[in-house]
Amino acid sequence: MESRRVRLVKKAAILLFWLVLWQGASLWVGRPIFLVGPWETLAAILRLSGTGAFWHAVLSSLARIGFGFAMAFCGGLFCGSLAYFWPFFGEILSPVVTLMKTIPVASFVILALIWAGADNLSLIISFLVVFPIIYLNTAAGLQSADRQLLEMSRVYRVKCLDRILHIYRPALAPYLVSACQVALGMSWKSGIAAEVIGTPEYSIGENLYMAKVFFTTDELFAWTAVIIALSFLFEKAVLLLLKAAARERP
Amino acid sequence: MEYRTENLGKSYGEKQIFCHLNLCLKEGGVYCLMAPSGMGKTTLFRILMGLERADEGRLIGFEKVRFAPVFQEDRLCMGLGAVKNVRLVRPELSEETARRELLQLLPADSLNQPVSEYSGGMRRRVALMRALLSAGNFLLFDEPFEGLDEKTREAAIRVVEQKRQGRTLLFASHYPEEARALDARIIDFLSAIPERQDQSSG
Repeated sequence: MESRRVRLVKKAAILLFWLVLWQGASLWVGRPIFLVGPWETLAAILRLSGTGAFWHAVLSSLARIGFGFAMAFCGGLFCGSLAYFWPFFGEILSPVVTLMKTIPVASFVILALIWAGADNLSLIISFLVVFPIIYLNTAAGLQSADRQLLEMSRVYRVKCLDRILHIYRPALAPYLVSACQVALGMSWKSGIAAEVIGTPEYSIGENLYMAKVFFTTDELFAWTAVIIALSFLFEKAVLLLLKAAARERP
Repeated sequence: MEYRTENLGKSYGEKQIFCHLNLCLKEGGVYCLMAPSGMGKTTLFRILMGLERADEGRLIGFEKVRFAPVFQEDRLCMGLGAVKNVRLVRPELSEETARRELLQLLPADSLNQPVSEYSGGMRRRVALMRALLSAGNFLLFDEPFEGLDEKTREAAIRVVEQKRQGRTLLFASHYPEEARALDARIIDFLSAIPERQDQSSG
């Protein structure tokens, strides 16, 4: 317990050190357009969060990116399982997945902007970025299922559902957890970047873009902090759900 | 009813595991297969269970067999406890019954702990109980008492006697006293393969 408290104090001290350094740097620069300090950022967050437009933007960006992520998660899980049990399907899909992995997000954004318009841009981008990660990790996770246990279940004629729950699921869980840790951060970064390019109405990206246009650097910092916080909370929530789904009751 | 293997042969690439293997087992009989390690007992068991195909020969009388194996490895679901591991292969068995039966070989407080927290000997006993409590009608045990100390080995042998319930039992072992304890007919793997015998005598 003692060492845990020490660790916590140490972490807080390190955080404080950087905050002080940041504040010092902003005072030294002396021009808020270039660098605003933590105080001004906090003030901007408080000011913005008092407005309805702030919450509108936060919620609609969260809904778009979150929905894109959820669809990619379900789709990747489904297609990855299909590819494992029916390898021909995997071979058919393989060039598409390779393309999705290698095409730069910026190209996707422009394409999606032309095809689908700005409104659902971040949803599409979040889907396109997350899908290949979940898909590949699902296939790899199922591949890692214990051969010996699978043989055992065949000889004992274990029910299909039990095989999925007690042999495939434990093998899949660590792959999906690490895939989500990567994919969650990427879905936010690329989703917001797409919004900055497409500037759909009521979105975090639009607000970032406006901060650039009007040189309101304190709002830029405030929105950035909001994105970090949202991304963090989103990741925690998804991983919590995932771990609950993977937990086995002995 | 008889179970027979006729001129069974298996090789991996150039390496021949066995050939012309002839076994004859009576339904309901107890047999102990004895052979030095690396002679292909495990391969034979895999062929019997249909996990591998023989290169030559055929199996006769196994059409309606449902195997209840104890593999060389324990092959348990590590996240589940003993009760759930048993009920995985025999879902119609009630939790209470499974628990009561398992208590013959395992301490009560362990039954709902994940198997990953068990000792090697405890896992072996779960694997053994799983086979005995399953719906299989042919018990096929690959060194089932390996890793058990003397006391638990005796207890395990008693449980096998009691839970076999007339089913055919074929088990591999290195110890004649295990065959004696289960009143098993000893099958010398070497003498079941004429060519091996020729090689070893010549």
